[in-house]
Amino acid sequence: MVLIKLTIKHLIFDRIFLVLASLVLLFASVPVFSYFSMRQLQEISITMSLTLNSFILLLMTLFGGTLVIWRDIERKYTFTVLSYPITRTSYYLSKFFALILVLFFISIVNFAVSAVVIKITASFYKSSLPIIWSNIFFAFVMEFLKYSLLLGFIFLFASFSTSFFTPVFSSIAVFIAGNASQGIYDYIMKSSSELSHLTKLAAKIVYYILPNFSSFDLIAYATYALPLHYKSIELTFIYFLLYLGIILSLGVAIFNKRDFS
Amino acid sequence: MEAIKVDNLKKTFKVKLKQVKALDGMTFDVKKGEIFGFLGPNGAGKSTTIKIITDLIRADSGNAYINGTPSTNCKARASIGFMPENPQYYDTLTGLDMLLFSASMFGYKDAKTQAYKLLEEFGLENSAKVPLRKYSKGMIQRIGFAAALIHKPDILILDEPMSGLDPIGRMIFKKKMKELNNQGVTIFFSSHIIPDIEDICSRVVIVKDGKVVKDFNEVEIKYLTTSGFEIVVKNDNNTNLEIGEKEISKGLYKINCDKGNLINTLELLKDKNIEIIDIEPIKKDLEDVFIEILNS
Amino acid sequence: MKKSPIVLTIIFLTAFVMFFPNFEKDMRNRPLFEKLGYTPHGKFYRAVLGEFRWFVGDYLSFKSIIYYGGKADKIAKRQYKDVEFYNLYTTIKTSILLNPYNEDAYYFAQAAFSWIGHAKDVNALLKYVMKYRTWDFKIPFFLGFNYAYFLKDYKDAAIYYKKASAIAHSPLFTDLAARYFYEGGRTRLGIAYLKAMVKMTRKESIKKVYETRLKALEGIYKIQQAVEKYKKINSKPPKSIEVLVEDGLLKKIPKDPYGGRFYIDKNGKVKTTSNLAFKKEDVKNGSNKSR
Repeated sequence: MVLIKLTIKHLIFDRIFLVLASLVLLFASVPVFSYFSMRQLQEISITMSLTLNSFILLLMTLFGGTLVIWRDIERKYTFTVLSYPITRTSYYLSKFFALILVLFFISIVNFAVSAVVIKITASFYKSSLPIIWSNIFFAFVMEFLKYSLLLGFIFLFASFSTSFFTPVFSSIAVFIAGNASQGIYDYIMKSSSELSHLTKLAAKIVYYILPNFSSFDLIAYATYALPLHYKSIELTFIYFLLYLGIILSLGVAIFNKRDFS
Repeated sequence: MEAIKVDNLKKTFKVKLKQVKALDGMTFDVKKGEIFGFLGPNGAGKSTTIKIITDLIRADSGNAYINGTPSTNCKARASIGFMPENPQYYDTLTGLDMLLFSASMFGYKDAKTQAYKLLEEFGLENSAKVPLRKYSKGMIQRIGFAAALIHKPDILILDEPMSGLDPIGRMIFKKKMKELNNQGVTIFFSSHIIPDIEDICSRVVIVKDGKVVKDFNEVEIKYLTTSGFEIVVKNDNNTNLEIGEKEISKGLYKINCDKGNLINTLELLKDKNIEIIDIEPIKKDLEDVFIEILNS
Repeated sequence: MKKSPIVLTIIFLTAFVMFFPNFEKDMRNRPLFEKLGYTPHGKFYRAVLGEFRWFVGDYLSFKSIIYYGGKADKIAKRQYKDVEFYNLYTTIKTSILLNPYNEDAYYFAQAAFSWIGHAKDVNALLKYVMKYRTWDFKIPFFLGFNYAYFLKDYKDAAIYYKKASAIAHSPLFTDLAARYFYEGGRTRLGIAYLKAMVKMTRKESIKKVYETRLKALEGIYKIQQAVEKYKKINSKPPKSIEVLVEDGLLKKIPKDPYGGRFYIDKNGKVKTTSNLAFKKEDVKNGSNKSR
């Protein structure tokens, strides 16, 4: 608990964090940018708000993750912190959940700001589509979950690597692969006749292993008021919990074995 | 029960595919109430041993215990205060916050009075509200020592505590260590600088190549590390002593004599009625001590 | 205690593997945003961008619209060589691939490309978008118009007009089709379409394009009516428009907003020297396919 508080405090006073947090100001550009649209100001404002949120969370995850765990190891803060009577597990998880809390808080702020700018923009021009706030809300929730999962990966990579590049670039690679996995899987499964059984099996295994980030993407649902299937959200949530459980416990297991020399 | 017990620790690191043996059967114990010096050249395995005791490194085999609790159990660290070599702390914290954070990690909620007391003792009272990133290396060392003390531990483990300290800092540290020891605190510290160890230690273990080479008490270490004496005498008549004296200023001579030759030299001086101004032991450097130990 | 994370990992892994088929099935049944082959370029972007694809799609159509707005003068003067039509088309295509829900993109494609001889390509885009924007009557409306007006495929046109009517819950489009297809009323079909577009369009620069074209078509329609009357009276087509004015069938000769001059050809058809920008040749020369 103390460590969570300290981590948050430490993070919030960091300059990089402040720069990233100031990106919230970009929301002011949403109505301006939407105004360029021919006839879908409201839609653009929703897409843009969600995209901005996603962008801020992405940067926050990458930088926050490295600030919180990698830098602790690199600057040898671990020598002092881990010599306190706490387990490594609680250190690792405290750090993780401290950052999750920060991401959560940022998501809430972004959602509140988004609601305002969407309202303003939607008042400029009557859209043929309704604004379904629950869809927008769930899209925000899903983005938060998605980046929580990505953060889990950063922590996993940081649990064994000593360099700055491994966690950051591996996480970016996971991010891209996780975004593409569904599309590529669909593509391979569709071109059924040309590919051998073995290739398909390999594709399936990779599909199981890679995170499926596209399942967290509800932007189209939020923007174009598409009917949301709550069953899908439920399944994605379970998927999130299990996947996060795997990478966190794996990360803890590796971190527990690690030598800090 | 020993304060710290280290039993046949072995550890091999992989450095770029090469196996480097850091510890090779390290065994010793620290009794309660001792000031225990852990002496050895760089790379002897001092830091590795300390990190195994504080559970930062896991041994390949062997065990370490703190007050009888295995070091891999995090509760073992509840009774120790630890300062790593060249300590690093969250540098956005102020000195005071760092101490309070340290205290809270040991479950002390209200440590403000204690924190201010320590800040004053270490001469940091004016920097209490200054973030650590603005501290000098010596100040970091002092705040680190203070942080290791804030929860009033029974055992202090200090890795090279006096490296990078100015003479005044060294003095404060040594004084504080003695004071704590008088209060019953066991102190375990490593160093590669002989005078630091010799001044305050009640026991010294010398390590090399990952194992203990020699275990000395206070008196033995003084004997071992002294190679000879430097005697300053007043010789106004410029009598020729024929024992290699050198004039250092008018009428003042400096004589170097071997460890075993002190009595003879003193008798000679007495016979010739020469006034002795000062006798000071000449300390060997660590390398020489090792050569001597390994030869014996 | 020390082993528990590993045990946990195994427990989670087992649960995950057991759960995954449910998840996979659900993902298969979700409306997929990735069907139909377009440029591999767009596909690559889509794979890499993740959820940023939606906004990048929006952004690309903005870019196109702003570019087009900047070239409005040149387009009005039919200086097509100065407009990168090919790049513009690929950009819009990528935009639609990234965000098929984007209304601006297909709307712009219809406005910018259908009139310059690319109705077929625009129709392909529209059909793609129609899979996603199932509630949007404008897409079949555009498709129907393009089939009828540009491609003269009245059968397909009727199908799409019917679809538009069904989505909009209005018989208007079916009526339009019935009224104009078989009367040879191509000009009136164009006028009806343009009037609808002027009403629907918010962006001033695009609205102007429609208004200009509408004005031209209305002029042609007026002359055509006069020609029909003349034919009834004289049993032959008039030699020139001036004749129609002299005979009092036309109050005055309408102006061609494209700067051309209306005339009547040998077969009695109304034409203009500006060609109303309908001619394909200009466009082909203007496009930059070589790049």
